[in-house]
Amino acid sequence: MDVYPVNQYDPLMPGIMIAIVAVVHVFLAQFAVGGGMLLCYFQWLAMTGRSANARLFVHGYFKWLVLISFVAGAVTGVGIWFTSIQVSAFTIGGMIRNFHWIWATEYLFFLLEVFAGYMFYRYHQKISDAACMKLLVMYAFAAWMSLFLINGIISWQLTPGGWIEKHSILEGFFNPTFWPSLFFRTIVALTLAGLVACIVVNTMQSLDQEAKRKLINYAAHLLVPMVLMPILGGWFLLAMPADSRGWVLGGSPTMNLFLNISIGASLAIGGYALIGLYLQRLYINGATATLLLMLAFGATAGGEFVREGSRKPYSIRYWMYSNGIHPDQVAQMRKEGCLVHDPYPLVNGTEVAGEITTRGAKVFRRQCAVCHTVSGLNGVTELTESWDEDQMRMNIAKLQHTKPFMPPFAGNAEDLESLVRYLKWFNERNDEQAEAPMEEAALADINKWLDQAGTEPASKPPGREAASSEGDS
Amino acid sequence: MDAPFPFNLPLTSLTYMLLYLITFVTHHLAMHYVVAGCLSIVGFSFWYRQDEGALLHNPIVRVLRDWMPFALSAAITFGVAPLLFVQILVPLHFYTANLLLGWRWMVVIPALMAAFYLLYVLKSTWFERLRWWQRALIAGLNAGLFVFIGFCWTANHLVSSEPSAWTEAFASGELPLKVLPVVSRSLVWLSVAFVSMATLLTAQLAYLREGTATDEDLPTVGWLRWFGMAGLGTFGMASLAAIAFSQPGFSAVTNLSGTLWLVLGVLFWAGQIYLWHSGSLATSRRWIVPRLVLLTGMLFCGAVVRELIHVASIDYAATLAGQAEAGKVEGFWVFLVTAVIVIGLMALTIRWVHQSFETEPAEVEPSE
Repeated sequence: MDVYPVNQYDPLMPGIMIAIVAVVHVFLAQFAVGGGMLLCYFQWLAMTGRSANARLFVHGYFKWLVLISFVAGAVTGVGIWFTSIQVSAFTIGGMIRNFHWIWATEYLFFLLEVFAGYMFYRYHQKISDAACMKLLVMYAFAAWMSLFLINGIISWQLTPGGWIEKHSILEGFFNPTFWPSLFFRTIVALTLAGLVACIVVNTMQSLDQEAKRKLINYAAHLLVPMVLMPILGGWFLLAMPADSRGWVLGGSPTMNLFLNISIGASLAIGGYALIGLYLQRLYINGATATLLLMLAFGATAGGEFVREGSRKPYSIRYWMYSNGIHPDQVAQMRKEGCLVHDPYPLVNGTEVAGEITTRGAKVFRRQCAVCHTVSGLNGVTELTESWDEDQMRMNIAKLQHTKPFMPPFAGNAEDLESLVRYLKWFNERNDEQAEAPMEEAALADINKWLDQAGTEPASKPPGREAASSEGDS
Repeated sequence: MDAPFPFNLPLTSLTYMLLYLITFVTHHLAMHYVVAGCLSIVGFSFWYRQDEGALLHNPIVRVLRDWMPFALSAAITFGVAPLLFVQILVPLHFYTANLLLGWRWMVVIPALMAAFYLLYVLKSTWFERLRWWQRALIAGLNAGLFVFIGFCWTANHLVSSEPSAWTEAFASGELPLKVLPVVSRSLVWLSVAFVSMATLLTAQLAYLREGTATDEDLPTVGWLRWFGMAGLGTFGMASLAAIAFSQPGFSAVTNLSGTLWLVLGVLFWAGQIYLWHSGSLATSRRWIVPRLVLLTGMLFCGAVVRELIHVASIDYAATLAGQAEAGKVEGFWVFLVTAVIVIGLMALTIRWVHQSFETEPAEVEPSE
């Protein structure tokens, strides 16, 4: 079993880093996808004579697309890999190993996207309308195919479907949330492109307000599919695992809050777009368009948080826990302890009281540090502050039952006792108590609770629920 | 007798390794263009300090400014593929090196973004209005960012090659890097960057007539041979030094595989020396494609030798099981068929643009 070094950034939790980079990248990448479709539409408007200024817009818009999406989008795409490795090399390693050919295929479409995009960017003023249209269609197709392929991988993380049993790529890729997620993201992409278009039109100083209004109303056509979002959102929720749906719909206040932020922001954008821009054909100034785009960013951030959070206690549902441990490794780690394969010492200068708290700090690093800090954001010492030692022992031993979105504790009684001592010591700084020899009675209690909890998670794949619950009892 | 590395690997591992090596070389070609391009503009800014307007009329500077943003985009895009395959080949080593570098590794992202936007600054008309020292400053900052990013990659590779130092490095936070290996390896890619840039520039001046290059330009840039010759000379010496200062030293290449790839590499290297040695050969259209082939061949040999050293530094045999496991994953044929389709579609886009240039001049809009 390979073990990686773990970087702790207390008081910041590592997940925050990937959340920031991921949200920015998803936002930019979806803008690039929608941008391609929007440009095809405007090129068509220009070629069919429906809009005299559409061609001017296409040329102006593409510069923005290149400067924002090609640069920041491409770099943050690489950034996601880098940050994912920092947060959980196990998870990104698992995703790459299982889907590397899909990823390599996506890379090919990314190559085509960049190639067609730059061909348009460089030559659009020197080639015919028909050639421009072909390049834009090629660009839009390649960009959407990137979304299609990546969507298969990230939706697999939440709903691996038949992949769990057969490890069939086809079943993993076309998993239960694949289609609702794909359609939803496509509409988000169109929405972002439409909102950016409203901003870009406002920067076109050669046009009067009436000409701008007409272009904005055309751009608003891309926002109309937002009316399908509630249906697609509902479809997605129904396709989610039942417990995930439970967290999102109120079981977890934080996730529910982020879902509501996402829905609220989408409603605000959709309402304004549909009533104001599409039906009443109103003008929208740059400031309002920017505000709507910021709301869209908020909606994207909320949506991504919900998508990430609802996988708990897994990072790849039913296959790998958030801390990188596979469900089938837990039983073995209960026997041999969770540190036998971990060669890494603590970082020099880490505060500990002695041998037991050193072990506790290592257990924390192995099992908790992906999602938690010791003290800080989502800090375990704060979360467990009101528990006495026995409560802490029992609650951690029965972790998957104490908090069903947590994985089972994957270590032996000594590991758990060391962790409890470390967390208590961190708050109280009582060296003597922390480093006192472990008591047989306490270890026996921990063992009893660990046995009662079993090694199975609270959240199991459909079909295994009945069998496992019999085994657990 | 065993086949030479990497052809002595099991078929699955060979597939991943070849894909890694080929995409690594394509990434380097594009990256070299940008790194050497920025450094060259720094030099040119000093060279033309008495006649600031002349800088903008130099055909090399013109083409570089025009094409470097695209080249960086290509470098990043091409760079994604080796980044993917290295995660299949040596996940433990690659991930551990990433984690040991930590925030020092993450800095690559904002640095790359800043460098990317600075390339657009170099391309802008605003840059043309600046004084020579201001131009040198911007190009220098840009070049500095690229050199820093290159250094981070070198550091990552060196850390990944030293598993025995990982635990101590994690505890102390000090990376197991020594000056000589870092400097020699950095010199390898920095020096060959000028060779790649000069080779690509002559090809652009010879064949591209859609933008900045004209028929008069190519004969005037015979002096690029000094970039080629100096770059190749430094590259040769730095490569020997890099092998010598590596952990396994020359023992990594004193075998059949090492001899084969080194000899092949030297032949490609010597061929380029010949093609750069005179101004007329340097600017002859006839030798541009052969020179590009020789350069690509030499970079491929260099990449294989780099891997030979890496393989000798770690327990490579232990990674083969993971590669075999990854090889069981479905999807290879989807990738292969898509590769053919995408290459076809890229060719089609070139054809569309080319045809439109040729047959539809009446519809063409005036350029800005």
